Amino acid sequence: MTTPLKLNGRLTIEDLNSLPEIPIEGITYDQMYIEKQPICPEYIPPDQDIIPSSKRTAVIDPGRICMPFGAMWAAVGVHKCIPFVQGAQGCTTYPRYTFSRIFREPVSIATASFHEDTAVFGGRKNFIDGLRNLIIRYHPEIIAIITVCSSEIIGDDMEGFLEEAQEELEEELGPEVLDGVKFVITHTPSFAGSHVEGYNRAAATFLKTLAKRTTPNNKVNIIPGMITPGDIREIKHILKLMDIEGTILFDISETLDCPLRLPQPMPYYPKGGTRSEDIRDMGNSLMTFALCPDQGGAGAKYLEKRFKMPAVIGPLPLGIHSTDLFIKSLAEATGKPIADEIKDERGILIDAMADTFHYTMGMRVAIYGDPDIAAAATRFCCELGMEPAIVGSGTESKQFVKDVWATAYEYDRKPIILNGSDMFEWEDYLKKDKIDLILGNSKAANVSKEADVPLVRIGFPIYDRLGYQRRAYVGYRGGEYLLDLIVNTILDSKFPDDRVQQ
Amino acid sequence: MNVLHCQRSCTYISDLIKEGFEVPYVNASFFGIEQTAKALREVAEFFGSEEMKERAEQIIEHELEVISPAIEFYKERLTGKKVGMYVGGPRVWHWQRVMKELGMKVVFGMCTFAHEDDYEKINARAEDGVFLVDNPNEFEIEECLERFKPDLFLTGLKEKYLCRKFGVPTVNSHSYEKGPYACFRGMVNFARDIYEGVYAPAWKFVRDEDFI
Ligand code: SF4
Repeated sequence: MTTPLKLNGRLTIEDLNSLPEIPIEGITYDQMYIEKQPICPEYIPPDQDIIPSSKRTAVIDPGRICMPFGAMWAAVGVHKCIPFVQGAQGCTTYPRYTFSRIFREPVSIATASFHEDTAVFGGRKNFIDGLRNLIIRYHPEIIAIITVCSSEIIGDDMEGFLEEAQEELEEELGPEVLDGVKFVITHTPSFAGSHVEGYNRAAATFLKTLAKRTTPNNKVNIIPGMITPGDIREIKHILKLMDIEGTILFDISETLDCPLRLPQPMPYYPKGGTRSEDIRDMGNSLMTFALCPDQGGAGAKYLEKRFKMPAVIGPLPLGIHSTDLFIKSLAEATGKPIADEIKDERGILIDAMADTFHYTMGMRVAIYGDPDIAAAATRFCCELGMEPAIVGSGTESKQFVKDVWATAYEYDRKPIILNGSDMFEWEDYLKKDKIDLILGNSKAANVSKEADVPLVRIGFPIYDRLGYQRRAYVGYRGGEYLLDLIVNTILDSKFPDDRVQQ
Repeated sequence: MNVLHCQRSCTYISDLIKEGFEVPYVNASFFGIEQTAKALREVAEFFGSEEMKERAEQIIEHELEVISPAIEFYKERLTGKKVGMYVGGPRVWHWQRVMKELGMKVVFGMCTFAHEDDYEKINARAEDGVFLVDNPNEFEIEECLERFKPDLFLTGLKEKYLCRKFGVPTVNSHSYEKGPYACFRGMVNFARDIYEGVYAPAWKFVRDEDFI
């Protein structure tokens, strides 16, 4: 009897039903034939009137998520810090889900678990009960209190609640227990901004609450923004080569990318994260670098105002020019020379650019992402001789527009800039143009498939591929990695097989 | 009639449909061999048609024949393994049976949104000594892993990474690893994913004493 199992083919329902035996490996996805029927035979462009997001009240395919998420991201980058979300469970569940999807790591986030009655009577009781449980069970060093839409709308007085909670818990648990925990309140009403602003606000509140000025420490402060653990490792690598001591606030490199090693501490805390004493010491540093102006700039500005500490805000050191600026400012601030190894790393990136410009030059690119990353990617594309045709950011930002224009002017390009727009609008521009390549996050994957334009993944969030969170895009070595991704994607999609072997 | 697979939220809707429109419903689980067979029989029984009953028996017999070599393969390798589970209420009571069909032993169960009747059903089906936790937090999950040392934990996306950090394999039990898991043929996929979880070489490296 012949078996209808076509090993590299697909099985229809009829094939499946007539299988004499299900193989040990079961019926795998690549064998299942799932027929998808398009709603209509060809692409019908949407009504042109609803394309500009500014003309709509509804956002379609948003390129941003809610403000508390940014603050949670920040808090997760602090050692033994647990975010406590003053809101309903959903405001915590979906961020946790997002963290897990991107990083494939556990993330502990507590919630005040609002229900209907909380919305009426306020969140005071849930807050105090929650803090008590958290302190008794988890012994955190810092609790990052993060508000959400509902607690902001009902007007929970977090500062007042915290004072009350501290008094109550001090009596109950003793002052030693309570002295071991620090509290940082960040207000993140999501209707007032996106995750970008959430991170920005957390940078300011953590520093306001914890940073002190005592004796100068000769360090530099770095507020990285929402970049990958790999990026943060790359920043540390640069500091090491330059022989500079730095404090990175919010260091997710060892909290969102952790080894599997036994035994684990219980309750589980990753061993990394910025230490609270280091945040305290950030008041004594030489200078602050906020790598992403919109994600963390507020922290640098606070230190500048409060302690007269010079601040360098952006650009994200991605590609040659922006990394050059970063390295030069580091050297200037500390008086250290630019290390020879760094010059070599720069040379290797330039070497790779020299080897590949025939592939990259003239390619029309559509870019979408958070403002700082989209602006940085635009500049790098120009450095590779590519043509950024459409540049969109999910969150509105003046700095983004300024940066993209500056790059465009310098390289004589004329990109369409979509500031704080949704992917629906961006997609329409992309489909009307002749685009060779997309630089964007996982949310662009569907558009990439539909429009048949290859996607190079960069930015936040990337959840449909493995390993991107571990890689660096910043610094010269990060540029090298991004260049490889771009060129390999072009080779895969734009060149015939017999032209890729030279 | 309505056939209810998710017997938590769908029960409420079905009760309303029954009240308002006099459309009856039967509860049926399509997880596992025994339960799927039972579901088919009960649906046929409801309509009372001999032809339908016969057809149900034919399907059951045929499907069992088709899947049993694969199921035997996995059962042999999974018998005696201990499982913990943290899934929706009905799955905790439905999967007790499914685990048994693979020779595995449920040692603890957890749910967030289970109601009282879920717990009654879990109690009725669970073997003595199964430890149950309502609405656990992560620390309680860790404590259960420590205490029961399961060979596998059936849970969702947010918790699975925590369990893996403690060296315990997981199978995504909400949206599946490589599903579908329902019905007879889905059971082979389920068994395969469980087997792959338990026997992945990674776990043996984690426990190498020289590197602890
Ligand atoms: S938008 Fe507001 S209510 Fe919705 S999850 Fe975010 S914080 Fe919560």
